[in-house]
Order: sequence, then C-alpha cells, then structure tokens
Amino acid sequence: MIIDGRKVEKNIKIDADVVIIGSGAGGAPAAYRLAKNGKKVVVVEEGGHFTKNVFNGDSYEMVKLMYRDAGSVLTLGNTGILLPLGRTLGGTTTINSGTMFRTPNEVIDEWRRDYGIKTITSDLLKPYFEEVEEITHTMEVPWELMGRNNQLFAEGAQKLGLHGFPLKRNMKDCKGSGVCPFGCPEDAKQAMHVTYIPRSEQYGAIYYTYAHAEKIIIKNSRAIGIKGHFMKGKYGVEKSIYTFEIRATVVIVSAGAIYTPVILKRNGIGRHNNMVGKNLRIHPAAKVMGYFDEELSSWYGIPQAYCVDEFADEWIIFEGFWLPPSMLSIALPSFGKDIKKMMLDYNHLAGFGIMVHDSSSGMVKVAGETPLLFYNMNKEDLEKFRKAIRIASEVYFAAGAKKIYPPIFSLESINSPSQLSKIDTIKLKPDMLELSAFHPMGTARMGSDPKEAVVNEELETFDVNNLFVIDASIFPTSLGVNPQESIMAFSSYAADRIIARWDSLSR
Amino acid sequence: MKICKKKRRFARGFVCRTVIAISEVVIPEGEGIDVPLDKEELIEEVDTFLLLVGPLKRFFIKLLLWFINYLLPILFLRFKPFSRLSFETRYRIMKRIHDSKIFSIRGIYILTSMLILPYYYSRNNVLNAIGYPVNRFKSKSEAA
Ligand SMILES: Cc1cc2nc3c(=O)[nH]c(=O)nc-3n(C[C@H](O)[C@H](O)[C@H](O)COP(=O)(O)OP(=O)(O)OC[C@H]3O[C@@H](n4cnc5c(N)ncnc54)[C@H](O)[C@@H]3O)c2cc1C
Repeated sequence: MIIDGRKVEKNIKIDADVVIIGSGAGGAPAAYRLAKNGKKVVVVEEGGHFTKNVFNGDSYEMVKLMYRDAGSVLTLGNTGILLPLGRTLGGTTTINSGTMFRTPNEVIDEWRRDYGIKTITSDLLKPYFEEVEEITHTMEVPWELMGRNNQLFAEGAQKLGLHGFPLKRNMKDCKGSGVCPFGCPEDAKQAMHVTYIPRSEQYGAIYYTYAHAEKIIIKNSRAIGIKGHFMKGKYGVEKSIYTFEIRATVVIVSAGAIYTPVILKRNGIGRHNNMVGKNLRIHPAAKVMGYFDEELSSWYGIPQAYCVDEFADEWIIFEGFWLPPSMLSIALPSFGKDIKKMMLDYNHLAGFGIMVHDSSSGMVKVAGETPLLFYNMNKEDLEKFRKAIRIASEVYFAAGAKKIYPPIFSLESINSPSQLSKIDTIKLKPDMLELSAFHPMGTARMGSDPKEAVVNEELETFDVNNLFVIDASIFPTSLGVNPQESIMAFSSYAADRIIARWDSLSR
Repeated sequence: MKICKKKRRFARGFVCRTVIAISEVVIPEGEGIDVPLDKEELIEEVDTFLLLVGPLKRFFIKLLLWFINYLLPILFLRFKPFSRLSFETRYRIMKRIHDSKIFSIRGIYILTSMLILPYYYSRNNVLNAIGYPVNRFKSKSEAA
C-alpha cells in the first residue's frame, strides 16, 4: 500500500516491526526481504510516487518533481560539483541511468586489507547479486538500443584498440526512449518503484510518501521508532501540520549518503568518533563532447549504454551519457548568443562521460536541516581527469569528430588532433573542470573498529542498538563502478542478518 | 516592471528585476534561435524554483541576486542598479564574469544561468527550433 502523505489529515501513530527511512536502492530491497519474512514493514519516503503515467520525457518538469532541490545540490571546496539526488519513491533509482555493476573483488579485498572488514566477501555477496540481477532483469544492452551517441564512442575506442563493452542495465522491454534520468516513460527501467516496492507491497509493506522523518526515538541506547511530519503542496516541499510516530523493533536509515548523515547527526548519533558525514566519496564525473558532420539524434537509444574500461586500473572509466537541451544548456562552454548557436548544432553533438574512482574525499556538515557538502579534489584525481579528457578526445577524433569540447575552462574547443597536446600542457586546477557527480557514498562507513566506523559489518550502528544504516553511506571507499547494484545487494544481506538476529533484537 | 509587481511568494521586487535583466543578456533576442523569452513565465518558474530549493539556498540565491543588482555594477564603475543598465553594459559585465579566471566569480554566472537557461531550453518552440523531438511521449504527458 502506498499512501500519499499530502492527503493525510491527522496525526498518525503506528506500531511496526521495522521502520525504514527512504525507499531507494538501500531501503526498498530490505523492505521486500523483511516483509517477505513476515515482518510488518513501514517505509517513509520524503518524495512523491510517480510512474510511467507521469513520466513524459520533459526533463525540466521531471526535475522539479523528482530531484532534490530541483537538481541544484552542489559541493563546495576547491571546485564546485553538481550532485543531483532523487527525492521520490524509489529514491535516486527512479531517476538514474539503470547501469548495474557488482562490487569489484579488488574493492572488497581492499576493505578487508585496509578496513578490517572480514565477513563481507565476494562469495558471501554472490547470491545476493544474483538475486538482485534476477529481480531487476539485469541484462546487457543490445547494440541496436545503444543509439548513435554510444555507438560512435564504441567505434572510436575500437579503432584505438581500447577495451570496452556494452553495459549491463536493469531493464525489461526497453524501447530506447533515451530519457532514463527523468523517469522512464515505459517503466522499462527496473528501478525500485517497479520491482522491489511492488513486491514488498504484496507482503504487506506500507509506504508513506511525502513523509519526512526527523527524529529517531532512542531509549536506553536502543532505537525504538521514528517521528516526523508529512509534507504538503503541489511539490510536497512544504511542511504539513500533521505528524507521524512509528514505533518499531528495528529502525533502518536509508536516506542516501547525503541525508543519512543529516538524520544521524541531528539525532546525536556517531558523536563518539565524529565519523558521521566524513569520508564523502562521489565518483566525480565530467563529459567530453564532440561535433560530428552527421546528424546523430543522440536523444534516441539508451544514454548510458557502453563502457570503456581500458584504464580502470588507473581508476578511470568512460560511460555514455546524454542530456536533453535544458540540461545541456548550462554545461556548454559558451555565453549568450554562442549558446544559441551551439544549441542549433545539438543534433550533431555527441557526448561521453568520464568517471573517476576518487581518492579525494569530502564531508557532509549540517546547517539546520540542510546538508552542506564540502569536497576538495586532490592532485591525483585532477591528473586522472587530464588523462581521461585526452583519451576521450582521441576516441572522438578517431570516430570522425570535427571538433571536441573538453570540459576545461579556457579550452573552449579543440579543432584537430594536432591540438590535443593543449590538454597535456594546460596548467590545470580543479576549479577549471566542469564537473558533476552522481554517486555519493561513504558518509556512515562500515568497519570493524568502532573508533573508525559508524556501522559494523551487519550495518548496525556502533552507538545505538537496533539502528541500522542501509544505503550508499556504508561503503568505506568509493567503488570505482556505479553503485546501485552493490547497495541493493548489501541491503538484502543486511535484511538477512536482521532476520537471523530477530529474537535478540526484539528482546 | 509590470511583471515584477505581480504578487508572488519569492520572485518579486529586485529578485524579479534582476533575473529579467540577466535573462536578456544570457538569452539575447534573435541570434540563431528566434524564439523570444516569455519573461512572465520565466519569473513564475523562478518562483517555483525558489520554493523547491528550500530556505537556506533561497536566502543565498536572493543574496546573490541582490549583490548582482546593487553591488556588482559599482565594481565596474557603474552607479545604477544592474537592472537599469543598458543591454550593452549588462552584456559586457556578465560576459566578464562568465570569462573570469576566478572560480567564485565565474560561479555567479553559473548559478544565475541555472535559473534561466534550463527553462528557456525546455520550451516546445525552442526545442522545435533545435530539432529536438517534442512531445515524443505526449500521450503520457496528457495522462499526467
Ligand atoms: C542522474 C543519476 C544517474 C545515476 N545513474 C546510476 C546508474 O546508472 N547506476 C548506478 O549504479 N547508480 C546510478 N546513480 C546513483 C544511484 O542511483 C544511487 O547511488 C543510489 O540510488 C543510492 O541509493 P541510496 O539508497 O543510498 O539513496 P537513494 O536511492 O537516493 O534513496 C534515498 C531516499 O531517501 C529519501 N529521504 C532522504 N531523507 C529523508 C527523510 N528525512 N525522510 C524520508 N525520506 C528521506 C530520499 O527522498 C530518497 O528517495 C545515478 C544517480 C543519478 C543522480
């Protein structure tokens, strides 16, 4: 059952077995598994419930409905990075690109080696990945659904002998509508709102949308419920006078790596080591664009369909992307009438994304209820971008581009391969890169040492019993690959641990 | 400006006047895509945006617009609010900001253009001019 919080007109008090804050990649799989096991699960989600009935491909409208702060979340520091987040049933999965990767073995090894994490192994996670992939219909993108934008990069990479492959995505009957990040008009993308959430409803899970959780009720160092208020208004961003209180044996915070620390900090959790909000990793990303003589219709096909991983061991990967005009307009290197001119070339533009497995890190601070994000890019990551921009530009020239638009301030365009050395020689600073990021992680990290970590290997907080964090916050490092499948697998695993410990948790 | 006299929650007074003054230089008339900017609709959208971003960012954006309108011109030795400067002067100032090597100055352009450009480049007649297929999923949008 999904209840629209804007329509609730009284204060409510409920008893449940498990209450979950947030319905994204972290919250929904746990809700499903726990409900299937007979637990009474209630999920509160601050955003609204939208499906293909609403998704109309109009990026501007969809951003207002489903993106946190209308897509204006930014990090501050030695550069500014746009960090879009979902605020909708299904969390960011409803507005993401659908790409699926298992956690790389090397990353799990690193956690064991450097963070003392012993129980989490590739073997332990394997059945969880398999189940996630089955439920979300994870499959490789067929060449014909890729769209010219991805095909061109693939062709260029092949000419240069770079290793690449079609990405795996969660999808069923995809028609290549090309607007994944704005809600799939066919609901072909198998985000939480079409997979885990309806499955959990079948087992009785209840979802309150436009319900903002504020307080974790703690008694004798044990979480016993949450309190919050409903939202009102067309966009559900104004506070309603009606409140909720949900008492439960287990409280799970799955508000994502930016808002989970807000909730934990505001409730005084994690004070013992001050680690909540620290260690923010984001996989900073940039785009390289190419101008081609041919008409590309880059808006057709799956925007994120191909990956070049030749340099993955240098912590750089390339993945497709495409942006509708409304979004691209703020990411062009021009001004005034020149933006208009460039926009007239829209049909000749191709773009490909660079994603860096970051060694830089940042933090989430809290001002009132608002997170303030700080992130400084270090020299190492900056140089990764230099290298990656150069490679992506070479790939585009190999694919026949006439001109490249690198994401570097003061280097508006590169008109021939002979000018590529400009990328090598430019005195680069982080604030010269035009950056965005889509994968916040690490702000309530898991570990074996209570002095260093926020949650243990079962994702229960060290500070408060029966309080679990299940979302992107728990990763000790960045993953180097898109994180949603890892989050879903960890969510299922943590739910199993809760089920296994149920008797002691309810004592 | 008549548009700015209309009662709105956030985008009124200097906020409204400054956004319009910036929008005229960020989206100059004619020049390639010959679709005029609907300023009234833009201001309605900015009002919604200011609602959506919440109180802290709203305060910051309003402060930024206040700075642009009242202080920025002084730094360029112009002693009138930005919204009352000629088109050419406003264009020159915004272009200098856009081209600045200092990120926090460039940030002024980046943040204010976020209020304006996505709106303009999402209008159907602009998309038509670009060749981007509008209403591909029209039946869905009607259902919404
Ligand atoms: C445009 C875009 C494209 C992406 N593409 C991919 C991709 O292709 N593959 C991939 O692996 N990853 C992708 N990601 C990232 C991926 O979607 C996220 O990493 C993942 O969804 C994070 O899961 P989560 O559970 O941590 O948080 P979320 O999925 O963000 O869920 C958190 C939820 O908690 C809710 N919430 C927050 N605070 C409260 C509160 N106080 N009360 C109630 N509810 C609250 C939020 O509204 C939100 O719905 C993309 C992200 C973006 C922005």
